[in-house]
Amino acid sequence: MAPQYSASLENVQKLKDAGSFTAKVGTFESSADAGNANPISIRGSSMNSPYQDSYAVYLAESIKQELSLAGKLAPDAKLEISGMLMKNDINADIGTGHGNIEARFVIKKDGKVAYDQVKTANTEWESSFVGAIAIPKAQQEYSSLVKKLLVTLYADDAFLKALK
Amino acid sequence: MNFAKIFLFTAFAATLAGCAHPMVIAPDVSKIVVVAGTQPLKKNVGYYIADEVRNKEVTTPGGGGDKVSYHPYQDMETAYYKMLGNVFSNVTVLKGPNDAEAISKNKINYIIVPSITTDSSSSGALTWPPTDFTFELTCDVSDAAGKAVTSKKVSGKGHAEFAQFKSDFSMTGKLAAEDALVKMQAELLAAPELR
Repeated sequence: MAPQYSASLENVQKLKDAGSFTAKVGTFESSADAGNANPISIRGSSMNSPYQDSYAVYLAESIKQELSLAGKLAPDAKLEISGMLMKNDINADIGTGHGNIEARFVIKKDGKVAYDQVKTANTEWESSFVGAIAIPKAQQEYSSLVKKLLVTLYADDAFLKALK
Repeated sequence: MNFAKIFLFTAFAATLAGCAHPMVIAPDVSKIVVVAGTQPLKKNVGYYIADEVRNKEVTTPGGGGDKVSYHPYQDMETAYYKMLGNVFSNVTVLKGPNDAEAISKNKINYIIVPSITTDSSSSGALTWPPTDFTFELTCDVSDAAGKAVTSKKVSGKGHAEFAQFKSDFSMTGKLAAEDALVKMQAELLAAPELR
């Protein structure tokens, strides 16, 4: 199973610094695109999401966790963040492991779209030839991959502007 | 091949490779909650973890003669931030022990420096994940001028058997870290010197 998401405190600070707003997190769908794996296969070992066996829900829960720690999550907020997971995969190739994730993020204010963009993140790490080392390492890297995707999202001025 | 054989094989392979099994002992943040009936202290805190400490990797014993490695500070930090947020009005991550700009901007009353000591062991000879884990957490608290206010120390414990940790090899470490944070939250909330 993939590790539960552990929020990036830099991301939390970025949300805190984004000004006075509250947001709720809507539904994240999962597209049928090639490369959007669920479960993810790592050297033949199957890795499921700890959130309802869905990596789209994993992404939604990750944003919720960071908004919550920043004091910005409100279930009755007028501003809603939703989206779609489009690519999602990790491998533990001998030598170098790779992670790839892509998602569409949408912000709606009172039902009107204020932001709609696709963000991508890639990660690489040293991957042992021993499966007992490489597989758990790759599983751990999933959380970092999602974290990097959200770093990319929060670095977008258009996203921060749409939150205000 | 049953689980015991898989574990035996992977442990043997890891021993041959001379590596420790990587673990992430980040506790479940959703388990670090405000206890009903408690109110956060009306104080602002900042905490400081030096980069070399945050990135420190620790290796302790696992089962079957194997070792496990993890990053206690890095793994704990998000849950630690949440725990402090349950105790104090506002939490700031400081860039240095004397981060004057952040201390002034965020009106920080207390500066907290955490330190962690861990250990692990296993009663299993065929499986590498530890069955027992201890996580000692100390919080040294000083005022904004650097004068010591108090120091609190707690010990968290995690225990799991094969049937429990076969779906999460890091389980005992996560449980121990969670136990320590919940205990530290209670210690800080009960400290009259912080009111």
